[in-house]
Amino acid sequence: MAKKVKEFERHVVVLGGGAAGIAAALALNDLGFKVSLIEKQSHLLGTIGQLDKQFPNDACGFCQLRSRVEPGVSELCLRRDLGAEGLDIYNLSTLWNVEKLKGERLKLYFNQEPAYIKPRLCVRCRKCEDVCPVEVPDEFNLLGKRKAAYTRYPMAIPPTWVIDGENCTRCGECVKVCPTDCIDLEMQPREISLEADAVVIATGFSLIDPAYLTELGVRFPNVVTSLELERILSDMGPTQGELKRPSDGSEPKKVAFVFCAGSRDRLHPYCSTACCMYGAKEARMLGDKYPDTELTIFYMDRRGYGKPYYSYMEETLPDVRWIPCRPAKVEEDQDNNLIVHYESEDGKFHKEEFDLVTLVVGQEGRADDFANLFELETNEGFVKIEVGSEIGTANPKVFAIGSAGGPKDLPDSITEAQAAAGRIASLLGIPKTRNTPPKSVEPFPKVGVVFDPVGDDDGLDKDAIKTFFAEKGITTAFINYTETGKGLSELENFIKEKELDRLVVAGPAPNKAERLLKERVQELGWHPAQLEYLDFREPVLWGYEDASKFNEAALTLALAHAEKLRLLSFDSAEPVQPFGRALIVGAGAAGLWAARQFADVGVSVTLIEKTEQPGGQARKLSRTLEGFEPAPFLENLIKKVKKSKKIELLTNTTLDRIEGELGKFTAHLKRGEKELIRGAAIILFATGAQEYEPKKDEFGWGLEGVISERDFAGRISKGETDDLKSVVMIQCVGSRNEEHPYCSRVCCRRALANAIALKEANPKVEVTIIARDVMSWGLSELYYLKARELGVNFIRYEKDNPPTVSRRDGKLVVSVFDRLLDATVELSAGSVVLANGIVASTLPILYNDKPVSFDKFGFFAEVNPKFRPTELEVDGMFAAGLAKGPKRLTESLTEASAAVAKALVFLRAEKLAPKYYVARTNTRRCAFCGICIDACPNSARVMDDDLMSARVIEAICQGCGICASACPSQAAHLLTLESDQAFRMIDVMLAQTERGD
Amino acid sequence: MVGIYKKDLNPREATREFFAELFEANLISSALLPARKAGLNQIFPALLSSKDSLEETFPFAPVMPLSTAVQLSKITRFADPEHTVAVLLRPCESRAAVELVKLRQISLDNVLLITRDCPGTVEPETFEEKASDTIPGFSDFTEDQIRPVCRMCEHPTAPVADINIGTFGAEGGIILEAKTDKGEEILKHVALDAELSDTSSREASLKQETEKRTAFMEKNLAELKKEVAGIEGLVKFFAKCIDCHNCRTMCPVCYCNECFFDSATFHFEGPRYEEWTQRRGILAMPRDEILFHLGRMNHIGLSCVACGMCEQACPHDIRVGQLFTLISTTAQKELDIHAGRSLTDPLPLATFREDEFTEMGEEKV
Repeated sequence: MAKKVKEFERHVVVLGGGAAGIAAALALNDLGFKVSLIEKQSHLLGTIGQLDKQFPNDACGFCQLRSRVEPGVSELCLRRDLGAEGLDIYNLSTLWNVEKLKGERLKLYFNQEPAYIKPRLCVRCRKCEDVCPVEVPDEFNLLGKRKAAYTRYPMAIPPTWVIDGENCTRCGECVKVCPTDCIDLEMQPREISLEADAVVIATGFSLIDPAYLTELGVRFPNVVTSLELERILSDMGPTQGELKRPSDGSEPKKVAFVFCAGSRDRLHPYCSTACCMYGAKEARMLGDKYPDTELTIFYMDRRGYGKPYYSYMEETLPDVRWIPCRPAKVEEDQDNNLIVHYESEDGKFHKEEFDLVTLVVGQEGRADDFANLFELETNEGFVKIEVGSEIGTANPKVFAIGSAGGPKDLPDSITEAQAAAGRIASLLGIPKTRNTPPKSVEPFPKVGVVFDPVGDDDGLDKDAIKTFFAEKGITTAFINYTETGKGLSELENFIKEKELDRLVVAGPAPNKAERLLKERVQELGWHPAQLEYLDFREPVLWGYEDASKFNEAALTLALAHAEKLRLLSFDSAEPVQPFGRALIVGAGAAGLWAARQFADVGVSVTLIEKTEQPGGQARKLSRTLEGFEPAPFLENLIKKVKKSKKIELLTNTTLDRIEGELGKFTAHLKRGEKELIRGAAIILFATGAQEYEPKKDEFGWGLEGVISERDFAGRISKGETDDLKSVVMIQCVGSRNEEHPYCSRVCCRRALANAIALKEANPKVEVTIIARDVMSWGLSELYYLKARELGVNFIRYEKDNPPTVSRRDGKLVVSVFDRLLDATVELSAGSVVLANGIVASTLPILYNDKPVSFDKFGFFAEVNPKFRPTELEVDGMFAAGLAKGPKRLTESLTEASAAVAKALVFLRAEKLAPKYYVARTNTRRCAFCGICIDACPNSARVMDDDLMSARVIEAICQGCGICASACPSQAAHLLTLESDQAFRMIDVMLAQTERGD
Repeated sequence: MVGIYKKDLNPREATREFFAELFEANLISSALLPARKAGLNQIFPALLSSKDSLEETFPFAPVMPLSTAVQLSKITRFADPEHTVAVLLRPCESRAAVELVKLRQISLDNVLLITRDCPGTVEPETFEEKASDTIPGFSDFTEDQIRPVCRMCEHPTAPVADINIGTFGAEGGIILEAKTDKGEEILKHVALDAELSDTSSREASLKQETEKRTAFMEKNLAELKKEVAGIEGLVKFFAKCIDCHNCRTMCPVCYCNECFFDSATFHFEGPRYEEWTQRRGILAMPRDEILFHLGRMNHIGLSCVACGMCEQACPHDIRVGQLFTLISTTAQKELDIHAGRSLTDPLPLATFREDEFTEMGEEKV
């Protein structure tokens, strides 16, 4: 790497421990930055923790954010990753001052409220909560109450209970019952100051308080907010997932959702971005669980603007009544039923009764509280983002990600978080990593067990434990390894002294400990699999009131793990020494931007482009809504890329096929007749997309004066449109239809930019935008308002009744059914501008003779659309920009930065350890039946005709073990969890039963 | 196409004639048929290269020393034969073959699959006692001598075949029925006595036979279910098991190269035996024989065709085939999986159904 930096030498402060903050902290930690994650609340996770399911798969999957430093280490859950070395979490902390230091460094001052609990001693026994007499409203579950001694939600991070000092009466009951004396009600607030090389602002949003929406009936018990409904529908919520009306607990049969409650109004003139989708998701979840419930959604525009969003809405909500209007009033009758007054599109007024009304509330910025500390401006309460970026601020070392910089949805927040890590890496440089685990683990080991006792009175009978294990030839020790570095060296000494080569560590919840310990034993030359971490406090201590039973269970579990380790032995492949090169396919804006950032941190890049010149679609773009000029930016970027010694730019070059695996890909390129071969550690696909070419006569395409929106923008900038008297723009051309069932994301904004430019140049020009839903999400909404103020007309049309375009008497005529007038109107136009969508460029890519898979729209399929937005199914393959789906230019750049951050994790490694949570095939046993092929959810298994055996593609295998359970002869097996180990563990545990317990 | 063939001959002779015609018309180059073994009174499948040896074949001998499906696997698994092999299978053998095709252990590419109706079989010992120079037929045995699994078998005719040789409802000769395009093509070259347009009497005969067997099965399995209830029942049922794994060796759908239960996973260390003995005071040997049966049931229960080869192979007459029939028919019905029903059914172990079974205490969605 170009800049010689040491691991954890550079320090980044991340403000806010919600989804974006956590994602940024993990991505930065993976790149060797010391990270301090600051959270104002008692526990991490912010709003995302309250939404326990997300579309499009109606599951959570937050753990997908986990570190991927070691490929395939899938046993590490996210909570454990947050305990990684070099990642410190400060909860209950509020920023109050920022000081500028030399060299653009910043010093941040925080106030940390006491939690009144010594975190190391808390064993999560919950006794404090049980005796606490104070009840206050529960800010997590919203509709219920919580105690003053509480945890925000089960399995929260940090994994301790806290005392809410503001509401605590200091009655001292909790102190009496705490078994480990961990509560100290005298604790004082603490001052923290941190010097940072860069800062990531991820402060998120406050939920808009709908109290001012009196006309929508906020005071009525059966009018709930969308977040309250989310909690009601959650299995861990106040009603354990049962839908009950707050007024009487009955099950509502008729539910209304009011979208844009508190958004797009005078107080919050912007669109809150995420609400259409999470509102739709709630309607779907409710409908799935209660199919008889009648669902109605009042909306302004259906802003399902991302790749899978619109089809999710379309496919999953056929039974919902969508009414395009904002209700005028909500009243309540004597039975607490709600009467909704609304005007339908035809101008008729209606009164309709509902059992429950959900106000889908949006996001309010928080930046006004702190932006001035960083000398940053705000925009509608959000941190002002620099033009031409999605995350950059006026201070080049400060980034604002997620909803800190404007209302955002989850995938964009995660992408921005990872992008911030990529940007910071290229600003500050990153260190090389050391440490590769040995390739094999030898049999016949010596096993030790370490218990981490909590205080003196933790119920563990030390003598009994020592004797029990001594009889089995297993050495035991009691070490407080979590307490400072001393414990760790004690543990290390124990291993050395007893000449151990396997270790079970039994202690409290593994958040902090497991990764730390595994990293430590690796320094002793161990393979991480040689250490097993056993969380025995929560499942065991909680499970048994009686101390003797607790001891018994602790013994059994520890022995089971010790036996699992004793039987562990394997040979894995040689560690891969990765090529020091990245291959980027496609030299459009995303590819160029990624190449430059790789070069910044000293990584060599081969950037290939199939056309004659770099730049891609961005070359055809005009000034954006926010005033960003793509042309000079692109010109500058191309110049820098061409000048860089690290970047090999190959134009007129295509990718023929790819072989190999993460770290050692071989790409066969074609340049004319010539074949070129390049080795690369990772491959980034930035292959772009195409503009939709309308069919002849589709919306008048082919008629004189009918032009695409992008070309029209070019004409505006050249001043060729000044003579036009009337312009009609038609949206959704080749988008949101059967052929392309997604929103192309950029076209409505482009239409608004064109309309505003026309109106500003000539206020007399008549501009009409015929759109299905105007997709101006987030702060773009302000431009929608501006266009309206400038007198641009908007007419809504539905998919089944589109406008038609013809040429009559030398003039273009657009006929469209206007719902307000309940009649077809004809508009004559000097120009008809079609918002041609974005469609995938189909190019089959062969990887190890198998085609790389695309999503149902023809774009690259991310392995997890929410939490791993740039990673593909094959380890070491990434995609960014239009290749992954419709996107604005700045979004493509952000995604490229995010992909760079994820790729650098592998590129900075001196060696890549082979996977050890991976399936294998015993060729001799394999009967070639193919069960495992069908059973594998990741298509990681293939039939090898030469071997007459199934074979595992390790780059794809996720180590889930489904093949091993499907294969009757154990020809398919898991490398580090073999059946003899599992049998032995079961056997040990059964022994306890046989003893009659 | 369905037709009567050689109505003046008995089924054995008619079937020999049929195969002779197939050889003469060069439609097949070899045939796998039950035949007298080396001039003895044993009937085993044998491969014939011409019609000359057909005299030695006994297609309807009511004995099944092993499942021919396994032999068909041996012939076709590693590479297809170059010329067409006709193979005559019982319904249970055909059903096992279908499962093995899905598991890629049999290839039917160059196979003409001919099945025959089956009234049931007797144990090889029973058969041997009766056999002399004349090979006995089904009617030479009493109902009690028929193997219980056969009396419970709900498949007197095979669901999958190119051509089926029907005897139920036939008043003379055999009823030939083409069930695939391949079968239709073959029957064009065969001199049928007459086409059978009305198959109702055959259907009635099959229905009557199936009902009789179902009734016997329900009664028999209900008793067995009581007998094996609980772990004590199971231990008692398998009390005589010597862990020889013969049942597995003879099972046509147990297709693994090496059985998991013969693998190193079950090679325990000495201290383990000591530990178990310490724990229990007394350790019955061999160990894990019930785990073996349960494991096998788990692995192949959904592919079990209830042929009873396991039971026939058991040196201690454990009614393991009947137990498998009890479990597999129940499980297969519950999941609407019927082993051997179709070549296109998915493999149960590789099929995920979100709603198939609920966890204990969980409500059905």
